[in-house]
Amino acid sequence: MMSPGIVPPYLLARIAAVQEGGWARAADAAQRTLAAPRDYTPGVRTRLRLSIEEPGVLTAETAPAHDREISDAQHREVVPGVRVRGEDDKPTGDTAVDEAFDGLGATFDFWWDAYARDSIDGSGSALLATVHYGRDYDNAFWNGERMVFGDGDDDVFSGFTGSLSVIAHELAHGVVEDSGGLLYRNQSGALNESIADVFGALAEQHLAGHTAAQASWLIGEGIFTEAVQGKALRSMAAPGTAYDDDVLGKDPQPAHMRGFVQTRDDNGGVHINSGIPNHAFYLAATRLGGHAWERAGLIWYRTLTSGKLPQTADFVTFARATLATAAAEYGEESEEVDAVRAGWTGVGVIPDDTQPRS
Amino acid sequence: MTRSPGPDPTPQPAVEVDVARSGGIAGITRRWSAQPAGDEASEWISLIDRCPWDETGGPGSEPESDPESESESESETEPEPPTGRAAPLAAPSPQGRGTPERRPVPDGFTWWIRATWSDADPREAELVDDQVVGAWRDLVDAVRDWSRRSGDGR
Repeated sequence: MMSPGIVPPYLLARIAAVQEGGWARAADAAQRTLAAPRDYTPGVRTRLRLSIEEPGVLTAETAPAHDREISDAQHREVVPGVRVRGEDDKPTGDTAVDEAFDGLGATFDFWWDAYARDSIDGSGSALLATVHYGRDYDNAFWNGERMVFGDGDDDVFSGFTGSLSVIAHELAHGVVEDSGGLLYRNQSGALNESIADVFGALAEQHLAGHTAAQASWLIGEGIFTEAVQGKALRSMAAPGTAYDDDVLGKDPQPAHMRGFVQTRDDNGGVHINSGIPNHAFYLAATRLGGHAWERAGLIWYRTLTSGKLPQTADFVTFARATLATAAAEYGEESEEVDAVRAGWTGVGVIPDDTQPRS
Repeated sequence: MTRSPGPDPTPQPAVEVDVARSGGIAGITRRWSAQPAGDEASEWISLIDRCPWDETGGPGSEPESDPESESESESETEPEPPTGRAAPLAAPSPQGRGTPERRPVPDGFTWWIRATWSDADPREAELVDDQVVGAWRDLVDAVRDWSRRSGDGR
Protein backbone atom coordinates (compact mmCIF):
# COMPACT_ATOMS: atom_id res chain seq x y z
CA MET A 1 0.00 0.00 0.00
CA MET A 2 1.28 3.43 -0.89
CA SER A 3 1.86 5.89 1.84
CA PRO A 4 -0.28 9.02 1.71
CA GLY A 5 2.36 10.91 -0.25
CA ILE A 6 2.00 14.34 -1.77
CA VAL A 7 1.97 12.94 -5.27
CA PRO A 8 -1.06 10.76 -5.77
CA PRO A 9 -0.21 7.29 -7.09
CA TYR A 10 -2.28 7.81 -10.24
CA LEU A 11 -0.21 10.84 -11.16
CA LEU A 12 3.03 8.97 -10.58
CA ALA A 13 1.67 6.18 -12.75
CA ARG A 14 0.88 8.66 -15.53
CA ILE A 15 4.37 10.18 -15.33
CA ALA A 16 5.89 6.70 -15.27
CA ALA A 17 4.02 5.77 -18.43
CA VAL A 18 5.14 8.78 -20.47
CA GLN A 19 7.09 7.69 -23.54
CA GLU A 20 8.42 11.03 -24.84
CA GLY A 21 12.20 11.15 -24.75
CA GLY A 22 12.42 14.41 -22.82
CA TRP A 23 10.44 12.89 -19.98
CA ALA A 24 12.54 9.75 -19.67
CA ARG A 25 14.16 10.70 -16.38
CA ALA A 26 10.90 11.82 -14.87
CA ALA A 27 9.35 8.54 -15.94
CA ASP A 28 12.24 6.64 -14.38
CA ALA A 29 11.95 8.58 -11.18
CA ALA A 30 8.21 8.00 -11.03
CA GLN A 31 8.69 4.30 -11.64
CA ARG A 32 11.24 4.12 -8.86
CA THR A 33 8.92 5.98 -6.55
CA LEU A 34 6.09 3.60 -7.34
CA ALA A 35 8.32 0.58 -6.93
CA ALA A 36 9.73 1.65 -3.59
CA PRO A 37 8.21 -0.37 -0.80
CA ARG A 38 6.38 1.93 1.55
CA ASP A 39 4.80 1.07 4.80
CA TYR A 40 1.88 3.08 5.90
CA THR A 41 3.32 5.43 8.48
CA PRO A 42 0.76 7.87 9.75
CA GLY A 43 2.14 11.26 10.59
CA VAL A 44 5.29 10.93 8.51
CA ARG A 45 5.51 13.79 6.09
CA THR A 46 6.66 13.50 2.52
CA ARG A 47 7.50 16.23 0.07
CA LEU A 48 7.82 16.25 -3.67
CA ARG A 49 10.98 17.59 -5.18
CA LEU A 50 10.73 18.69 -8.77
CA SER A 51 13.87 19.62 -10.60
CA ILE A 52 14.83 20.40 -14.16
CA GLU A 53 18.39 19.33 -14.64
CA GLU A 54 18.38 19.52 -18.41
CA PRO A 55 16.01 21.54 -20.52
CA GLY A 56 12.79 19.63 -20.99
CA VAL A 57 13.62 17.01 -18.37
CA LEU A 58 11.46 17.16 -15.32
CA THR A 59 12.55 14.98 -12.44
CA ALA A 60 10.06 14.19 -9.74
CA GLU A 61 11.24 12.55 -6.53
CA THR A 62 9.62 12.17 -3.20
CA ALA A 63 11.78 13.01 -0.21
CA PRO A 64 10.93 12.97 3.45
CA ALA A 65 9.82 16.33 4.73
CA HIS A 66 10.85 18.29 7.77
CA ASP A 67 8.88 17.90 10.94
CA ARG A 68 10.18 20.55 13.31
CA GLU A 69 8.92 21.91 16.56
CA ILE A 70 10.47 24.73 18.54
CA SER A 71 9.56 25.44 22.14
CA ASP A 72 10.42 28.37 24.38
CA ALA A 73 11.65 27.66 27.92
CA GLN A 74 10.94 31.32 28.77
CA HIS A 75 14.26 31.60 30.62
CA ARG A 76 13.50 28.77 33.00
CA GLU A 77 15.61 25.63 33.12
CA VAL A 78 12.78 23.36 32.04
CA VAL A 79 12.07 21.46 28.85
CA PRO A 80 10.20 21.42 26.61
CA GLY A 81 8.66 24.78 27.55
CA VAL A 82 5.90 26.38 25.50
CA ARG A 83 5.50 25.30 21.88
CA VAL A 84 6.00 28.39 19.72
CA ARG A 85 6.58 27.17 16.17
CA GLY A 86 5.57 24.03 14.33
CA GLU A 87 6.39 22.88 10.83
CA ASP A 88 3.59 24.76 9.10
CA ASP A 89 3.88 27.97 11.08
CA LYS A 90 5.32 31.22 9.78
CA PRO A 91 8.47 32.78 11.26
CA THR A 92 7.78 34.14 14.72
CA GLY A 93 10.11 37.13 14.62
CA ASP A 94 12.01 35.71 17.59
CA THR A 95 15.55 35.27 16.25
CA ALA A 96 16.44 32.26 18.39
CA VAL A 97 13.23 30.45 17.45
CA ASP A 98 13.57 31.12 13.75
CA GLU A 99 17.31 30.40 13.60
CA ALA A 100 16.79 27.10 15.41
CA PHE A 101 13.96 26.25 13.02
CA ASP A 102 16.06 27.01 9.93
CA GLY A 103 19.09 25.24 11.35
CA LEU A 104 17.12 22.08 12.02
CA GLY A 105 15.83 22.21 8.45
CA ALA A 106 19.31 22.64 6.96
CA THR A 107 20.64 19.80 9.12
CA PHE A 108 17.78 17.53 8.10
CA ASP A 109 18.46 18.28 4.42
CA PHE A 110 22.14 17.52 4.92
CA TRP A 111 21.49 14.06 6.38
CA TRP A 112 19.01 13.24 3.65
CA ASP A 113 20.94 14.59 0.67
CA ALA A 114 24.32 13.26 1.77
CA TYR A 115 23.40 9.89 3.25
CA ALA A 116 19.66 9.36 2.53
CA ARG A 117 19.19 9.38 6.29
CA ASP A 118 15.67 10.35 7.23
CA SER A 119 16.14 12.47 10.35
CA ILE A 120 18.08 11.59 13.50
CA ASP A 121 16.75 8.08 13.92
CA GLY A 122 16.65 7.34 10.20
CA SER A 123 12.87 6.94 10.40
CA GLY A 124 11.63 10.47 10.12
CA SER A 125 11.59 11.41 13.78
CA ALA A 126 10.48 14.96 14.52
CA LEU A 127 13.25 17.46 15.21
CA LEU A 128 12.66 19.14 18.53
CA ALA A 129 14.37 22.13 20.04
CA THR A 130 13.96 24.33 23.07
CA VAL A 131 15.34 27.87 23.01
CA HIS A 132 15.69 30.58 25.67
CA TYR A 133 16.70 27.91 28.18
CA GLY A 134 17.67 29.40 31.54
CA ARG A 135 18.92 32.87 32.27
CA ASP A 136 22.24 33.92 30.74
CA TYR A 137 22.69 30.22 30.06
CA ASP A 138 26.03 29.67 28.36
CA ASN A 139 25.43 26.44 26.57
CA ALA A 140 23.66 24.32 23.97
CA PHE A 141 23.26 20.59 24.51
CA TRP A 142 21.47 17.46 23.39
CA ASN A 143 19.34 16.01 26.19
CA GLY A 144 18.68 12.70 24.50
CA GLU A 145 15.47 13.89 22.90
CA ARG A 146 15.85 17.47 21.86
CA MET A 147 18.34 20.25 21.34
CA VAL A 148 18.42 22.79 24.11
CA PHE A 149 19.81 26.31 23.58
CA GLY A 150 20.65 28.94 26.15
CA ASP A 151 20.86 32.56 25.10
CA GLY A 152 24.44 33.05 26.25
CA ASP A 153 25.38 35.66 28.81
CA ASP A 154 26.40 38.41 26.34
CA ASP A 155 29.83 38.48 27.98
CA VAL A 156 31.30 35.41 26.33
CA PHE A 157 28.56 33.98 24.11
CA SER A 158 26.05 35.95 22.11
CA GLY A 159 23.79 32.93 21.64
CA PHE A 160 24.09 29.52 19.98
CA THR A 161 21.37 29.32 17.33
CA GLY A 162 23.30 31.51 14.91
CA SER A 163 25.79 28.77 14.10
CA LEU A 164 24.69 25.87 11.93
CA SER A 165 27.75 23.86 12.95
CA VAL A 166 26.54 24.12 16.57
CA ILE A 167 22.99 23.04 15.70
CA ALA A 168 24.18 20.18 13.50
CA HIS A 169 26.72 19.20 16.18
CA GLU A 170 23.90 18.71 18.69
CA LEU A 171 21.77 16.70 16.28
CA ALA A 172 24.79 14.56 15.39
CA HIS A 173 24.96 13.54 19.07
CA GLY A 174 21.49 12.13 18.48
CA VAL A 175 22.72 10.21 15.44
CA VAL A 176 25.67 8.84 17.43
CA GLU A 177 23.31 7.72 20.17
CA ASP A 178 20.94 6.14 17.67
CA SER A 179 23.86 4.28 16.07
CA GLY A 180 24.75 2.52 19.32
CA GLY A 181 26.48 5.30 21.17
CA LEU A 182 30.00 6.07 22.26
CA LEU A 183 30.59 6.27 26.00
CA TYR A 184 30.85 9.96 26.83
CA ARG A 185 34.20 9.95 28.56
CA ASN A 186 37.89 9.66 27.72
CA GLN A 187 38.74 8.53 24.15
CA SER A 188 35.31 7.15 23.26
CA GLY A 189 33.81 10.42 24.52
CA ALA A 190 36.29 12.43 22.46
CA LEU A 191 35.26 10.35 19.41
CA ASN A 192 31.61 11.11 20.20
CA GLU A 193 32.52 14.81 20.30
CA SER A 194 34.63 14.61 17.16
CA ILE A 195 31.90 12.87 15.16
CA ALA A 196 29.49 15.60 16.26
CA ASP A 197 32.02 18.22 15.06
CA VAL A 198 32.63 16.39 11.77
CA PHE A 199 28.95 16.27 10.85
CA GLY A 200 28.40 19.75 12.29
CA ALA A 201 31.07 21.10 9.93
CA LEU A 202 29.79 19.01 7.01
CA ALA A 203 26.22 20.28 7.44
CA GLU A 204 27.55 23.84 7.23
CA GLN A 205 29.67 23.01 4.17
CA HIS A 206 26.69 21.29 2.54
CA LEU A 207 24.47 24.35 3.00
CA ALA A 208 27.16 26.67 1.62
CA GLY A 209 28.11 24.26 -1.18
CA HIS A 210 31.73 24.50 -0.06
CA THR A 211 34.46 22.10 -1.07
CA ALA A 212 36.99 20.89 1.47
CA ALA A 213 39.38 23.56 0.22
CA GLN A 214 36.82 26.36 0.54
CA ALA A 215 35.50 25.42 3.96
CA SER A 216 36.43 27.21 7.19
CA TRP A 217 36.53 23.96 9.20
CA LEU A 218 35.50 26.01 12.23
CA ILE A 219 32.93 24.92 14.80
CA GLY A 220 30.76 27.64 16.29
CA GLU A 221 32.03 30.52 14.20
CA GLY A 222 30.45 33.79 15.30
CA ILE A 223 29.00 32.72 18.63
CA PHE A 224 31.57 34.55 20.75
CA THR A 225 30.86 38.18 21.59
CA GLU A 226 33.10 40.91 20.20
CA ALA A 227 34.85 41.05 23.57
CA VAL A 228 36.37 37.58 23.17
CA GLN A 229 39.66 37.19 21.37
CA GLY A 230 38.75 34.26 19.18
CA LYS A 231 36.92 33.30 16.02
CA ALA A 232 35.21 30.03 16.97
CA LEU A 233 35.03 27.24 19.55
CA ARG A 234 37.23 24.83 17.64
CA SER A 235 39.22 24.58 14.45
CA MET A 236 39.44 21.24 12.69
CA ALA A 237 42.07 22.58 10.31
CA ALA A 238 44.30 23.84 13.12
CA PRO A 239 43.17 22.54 16.51
CA GLY A 240 44.41 24.77 19.33
CA THR A 241 44.09 28.03 17.38
CA ALA A 242 40.37 28.86 17.59
CA TYR A 243 40.73 31.36 20.43
CA ASP A 244 43.32 32.86 22.72
CA ASP A 245 41.64 35.08 25.25
CA ASP A 246 42.80 36.80 28.43
CA VAL A 247 39.92 35.40 30.44
CA LEU A 248 39.02 32.15 28.64
CA GLY A 249 42.61 31.19 28.05
CA LYS A 250 43.86 29.52 24.90
CA ASP A 251 42.09 26.86 22.86
CA PRO A 252 43.44 23.68 24.53
CA GLN A 253 42.90 21.26 21.65
CA PRO A 254 45.79 19.09 20.50
CA ALA A 255 46.15 18.20 16.82
CA HIS A 256 48.34 15.16 17.45
CA MET A 257 48.59 12.27 19.93
CA ARG A 258 51.79 13.73 21.37
CA GLY A 259 49.62 16.54 22.76
CA PHE A 260 46.94 14.21 24.22
CA VAL A 261 45.59 15.80 27.41
CA GLN A 262 44.92 13.78 30.56
CA THR A 263 42.34 15.56 32.68
CA ARG A 264 39.42 14.81 34.93
CA ASP A 265 37.54 17.89 33.75
CA ASP A 266 35.08 17.68 30.89
CA ASN A 267 34.49 13.91 31.27
CA GLY A 268 38.15 13.28 30.64
CA GLY A 269 38.71 16.06 28.13
CA VAL A 270 36.15 14.96 25.56
CA HIS A 271 36.05 18.46 24.02
CA ILE A 272 39.83 18.75 24.16
CA ASN A 273 41.17 15.50 22.72
CA SER A 274 38.48 15.54 20.02
CA GLY A 275 40.95 17.81 18.24
CA ILE A 276 42.97 14.73 17.29
CA PRO A 277 40.26 12.79 15.38
CA ASN A 278 38.90 16.12 14.09
CA HIS A 279 42.21 16.89 12.47
CA ALA A 280 42.50 13.33 11.08
CA PHE A 281 39.18 13.87 9.31
CA TYR A 282 40.30 17.25 8.02
CA LEU A 283 43.55 15.75 6.65
CA ALA A 284 41.69 12.91 4.91
CA ALA A 285 38.98 15.19 3.49
CA THR A 286 41.34 17.87 2.18
CA ARG A 287 43.57 15.23 0.62
CA LEU A 288 40.58 13.83 -1.26
CA GLY A 289 39.25 17.28 -2.17
CA GLY A 290 35.79 18.06 -3.49
CA HIS A 291 32.77 17.96 -1.20
CA ALA A 292 33.97 16.53 2.08
CA TRP A 293 30.64 14.87 2.87
CA GLU A 294 30.79 12.76 -0.28
CA ARG A 295 33.77 10.50 0.40
CA ALA A 296 35.49 11.22 3.72
CA GLY A 297 32.10 11.97 5.29
CA LEU A 298 30.54 8.83 3.83
CA ILE A 299 33.37 6.70 5.26
CA TRP A 300 32.86 8.23 8.71
CA TYR A 301 29.09 7.83 8.43
CA ARG A 302 29.23 4.18 7.36
CA THR A 303 31.72 3.46 10.15
CA LEU A 304 29.49 5.10 12.73
CA THR A 305 26.35 3.29 11.56
CA SER A 306 27.93 -0.10 10.84
CA GLY A 307 26.64 -1.49 14.12
CA LYS A 308 30.13 -2.85 14.77
CA LEU A 309 31.62 0.07 16.66
CA PRO A 310 31.93 -0.70 20.37
CA GLN A 311 30.66 1.95 22.79
CA THR A 312 34.12 2.05 24.33
CA ALA A 313 35.97 2.43 21.02
CA ASP A 314 39.24 4.30 21.36
CA PHE A 315 40.97 6.31 18.63
CA VAL A 316 42.88 3.32 17.25
CA THR A 317 39.74 1.15 17.10
CA PHE A 318 37.85 3.88 15.29
CA ALA A 319 40.75 4.60 12.92
CA ARG A 320 41.00 0.93 11.92
CA ALA A 321 37.24 0.80 11.45
CA THR A 322 37.34 3.79 9.07
CA LEU A 323 40.13 2.10 7.09
CA ALA A 324 38.07 -1.08 6.82
CA THR A 325 35.05 0.95 5.70
CA ALA A 326 37.08 2.81 3.10
CA ALA A 327 38.48 -0.48 1.76
CA ALA A 328 35.01 -2.05 1.60
CA GLU A 329 33.51 1.01 -0.06
CA TYR A 330 36.28 1.97 -2.49
CA GLY A 331 38.77 -0.93 -2.60
CA GLU A 332 42.01 -1.70 -0.76
CA GLU A 333 44.15 0.17 -3.27
CA SER A 334 41.90 3.22 -3.51
CA GLU A 335 42.92 6.82 -2.97
CA GLU A 336 40.22 6.94 -0.30
CA VAL A 337 42.02 4.29 1.79
CA ASP A 338 45.29 6.19 1.30
CA ALA A 339 43.69 9.46 2.36
CA VAL A 340 42.12 7.98 5.49
CA ARG A 341 45.39 6.30 6.44
CA ALA A 342 47.27 9.57 5.87
CA GLY A 343 44.75 11.32 8.13
CA TRP A 344 45.28 8.95 11.04
CA THR A 345 49.05 8.73 10.65
CA GLY A 346 49.15 12.53 10.41
CA VAL A 347 47.79 12.80 13.95
CA GLY A 348 49.85 9.91 15.34
CA VAL A 349 46.95 7.52 15.97
CA ILE A 350 48.27 4.93 13.52
CA PRO A 351 52.01 4.49 12.98
CA ASP A 352 53.23 5.43 9.55
CA ASP A 353 54.09 1.88 8.50
CA THR A 354 50.83 0.23 9.57
CA GLN A 355 48.85 -1.46 6.87
CA PRO A 356 45.08 -1.42 7.12
CA ARG A 357 43.42 -4.32 8.83
CA SER A 358 39.95 -5.41 7.99
CA MET B 1 39.13 41.33 26.76
CA THR B 2 41.51 42.14 29.55
CA ARG B 3 41.29 40.80 33.05
CA SER B 4 40.53 43.48 35.60
CA PRO B 5 42.95 43.92 38.46
CA GLY B 6 42.18 41.67 41.42
CA PRO B 7 40.81 42.89 44.73
CA ASP B 8 43.07 44.45 47.32
CA PRO B 9 44.70 41.98 49.67
CA THR B 10 42.20 41.00 52.35
CA PRO B 11 42.67 39.29 55.70
CA GLN B 12 42.94 35.50 55.71
CA PRO B 13 39.48 34.35 54.59
CA ALA B 14 37.48 32.28 57.04
CA VAL B 15 35.70 30.46 54.25
CA GLU B 16 36.62 29.64 50.69
CA VAL B 17 34.27 28.17 48.11
CA ASP B 18 35.61 27.17 44.72
CA VAL B 19 33.46 26.29 41.75
CA ALA B 20 34.64 24.84 38.45
CA ARG B 21 32.30 24.30 35.55
CA SER B 22 33.67 22.06 32.81
CA GLY B 23 32.18 20.62 29.64
CA GLY B 24 29.52 22.38 27.66
CA ILE B 25 29.65 22.52 23.88
CA ALA B 26 32.55 24.93 24.20
CA GLY B 27 34.53 22.60 26.45
CA ILE B 28 35.85 25.66 28.26
CA THR B 29 36.39 25.18 31.99
CA ARG B 30 35.38 28.25 33.99
CA ARG B 31 36.42 28.72 37.61
CA TRP B 32 35.01 31.00 40.27
CA SER B 33 36.05 31.47 43.86
CA ALA B 34 34.67 33.29 46.89
CA GLN B 35 36.72 34.08 50.00
CA PRO B 36 34.32 35.85 52.33
CA ALA B 37 35.79 37.13 55.56
CA GLY B 38 34.47 38.46 58.85
CA ASP B 39 30.69 38.79 59.31
CA GLU B 40 30.01 37.67 55.78
CA ALA B 41 31.54 34.28 56.49
CA SER B 42 28.80 33.06 58.85
CA GLU B 43 26.14 33.65 56.18
CA TRP B 44 28.23 31.60 53.82
CA ILE B 45 28.57 28.75 56.29
CA SER B 46 24.79 28.46 56.54
CA LEU B 47 24.59 28.54 52.73
CA ILE B 48 27.14 25.73 52.59
CA ASP B 49 25.36 23.73 55.29
CA ARG B 50 22.09 23.74 53.34
CA CYS B 51 23.72 21.81 50.47
CA PRO B 52 23.25 18.03 50.48
CA TRP B 53 26.97 17.20 50.34
CA ASP B 54 26.46 13.59 51.42
CA GLU B 55 23.97 12.77 48.69
CA THR B 56 26.18 13.55 45.76
CA GLY B 57 29.42 12.44 44.25
CA GLY B 58 32.06 13.44 46.74
CA PRO B 59 35.72 12.51 46.60
CA GLY B 60 36.14 8.94 45.50
CA SER B 61 32.43 8.21 45.60
CA GLU B 62 32.28 7.34 41.93
CA PRO B 63 35.68 6.16 40.90
CA GLU B 64 36.78 6.72 37.39
CA SER B 65 38.36 3.90 35.48
CA ASP B 66 39.37 3.47 31.93
CA PRO B 67 37.04 1.66 29.55
CA GLU B 68 39.14 -1.53 29.50
CA SER B 69 39.22 -2.01 33.23
CA GLU B 70 35.60 -0.97 33.43
CA SER B 71 34.53 -3.75 31.12
CA GLU B 72 36.83 -6.36 32.58
CA SER B 73 36.89 -5.70 36.25
CA GLU B 74 34.16 -5.88 38.83
CA SER B 75 36.15 -3.75 41.22
CA GLU B 76 34.46 -0.52 42.15
CA THR B 77 37.34 0.88 44.10
CA GLU B 78 40.24 2.92 42.94
CA PRO B 79 42.79 5.01 44.77
CA GLU B 80 41.99 8.64 45.38
CA PRO B 81 42.89 10.67 42.32
CA PRO B 82 46.17 12.49 42.83
CA THR B 83 44.52 15.89 42.65
CA GLY B 84 42.00 14.99 45.33
CA ARG B 85 39.30 16.01 42.90
CA ALA B 86 35.89 14.42 43.11
CA ALA B 87 35.35 11.89 40.38
CA PRO B 88 32.73 12.68 37.79
CA LEU B 89 29.33 11.12 38.06
CA ALA B 90 30.08 8.42 35.60
CA ALA B 91 28.07 6.90 32.85
CA PRO B 92 26.90 3.36 33.45
CA SER B 93 29.25 0.75 32.10
CA PRO B 94 28.33 -0.69 28.70
CA GLN B 95 27.11 -3.84 30.39
CA GLY B 96 24.70 -1.83 32.48
CA ARG B 97 26.50 -2.89 35.65
CA GLY B 98 26.27 -0.70 38.68
CA THR B 99 23.73 1.78 39.90
CA PRO B 100 21.68 3.82 37.44
CA GLU B 101 23.70 6.94 38.13
CA ARG B 102 23.41 9.91 35.86
CA ARG B 103 24.78 9.42 32.38
CA PRO B 104 26.62 12.52 31.18
CA VAL B 105 24.51 14.61 28.82
CA PRO B 106 26.44 15.30 25.60
CA ASP B 107 27.71 18.88 25.91
CA GLY B 108 26.20 19.15 29.38
CA PHE B 109 28.04 21.03 32.10
CA THR B 110 29.77 19.24 34.97
CA TRP B 111 30.14 21.23 38.19
CA TRP B 112 32.77 20.69 40.85
CA ILE B 113 32.24 22.51 44.11
CA ARG B 114 34.57 22.66 47.12
CA ALA B 115 34.05 24.45 50.40
CA THR B 116 36.93 24.91 52.82
CA TRP B 117 37.02 26.72 56.12
CA SER B 118 39.44 27.01 58.97
CA ASP B 119 38.01 24.56 61.50
CA ALA B 120 36.41 21.83 59.41
CA ASP B 121 37.36 19.32 56.73
CA PRO B 122 36.85 20.52 53.17
CA ARG B 123 33.70 19.33 51.44
CA GLU B 124 33.52 18.46 47.77
CA ALA B 125 30.82 17.56 45.33
CA GLU B 126 30.64 16.90 41.63
CA LEU B 127 27.29 17.46 39.98
CA VAL B 128 25.79 17.28 36.53
CA ASP B 129 24.01 20.41 35.42
CA ASP B 130 20.44 19.49 36.32
CA GLN B 131 21.51 18.61 39.86
CA VAL B 132 22.55 22.21 40.43
CA VAL B 133 19.21 23.30 41.85
CA GLY B 134 17.95 24.50 45.23
CA ALA B 135 20.70 25.04 47.79
CA TRP B 136 23.40 24.06 45.30
CA ARG B 137 22.18 26.68 42.90
CA ASP B 138 22.10 29.32 45.61
CA LEU B 139 25.68 28.48 46.55
CA VAL B 140 26.94 28.48 42.97
CA ASP B 141 25.18 31.76 42.18
CA ALA B 142 26.62 33.31 45.35
CA VAL B 143 30.15 32.25 44.39
CA ARG B 144 29.78 33.59 40.86
CA ASP B 145 28.37 36.88 42.16
CA TRP B 146 31.13 37.23 44.72
CA SER B 147 33.70 36.43 42.08
CA ARG B 148 32.25 38.99 39.66
CA ARG B 149 32.03 41.68 42.35
CA SER B 150 35.68 41.17 43.09
CA GLY B 151 36.43 41.77 39.43
CA ASP B 152 37.64 38.27 38.79
CA GLY B 153 36.76 37.16 35.31
CA ARG B 154 33.56 37.40 33.34
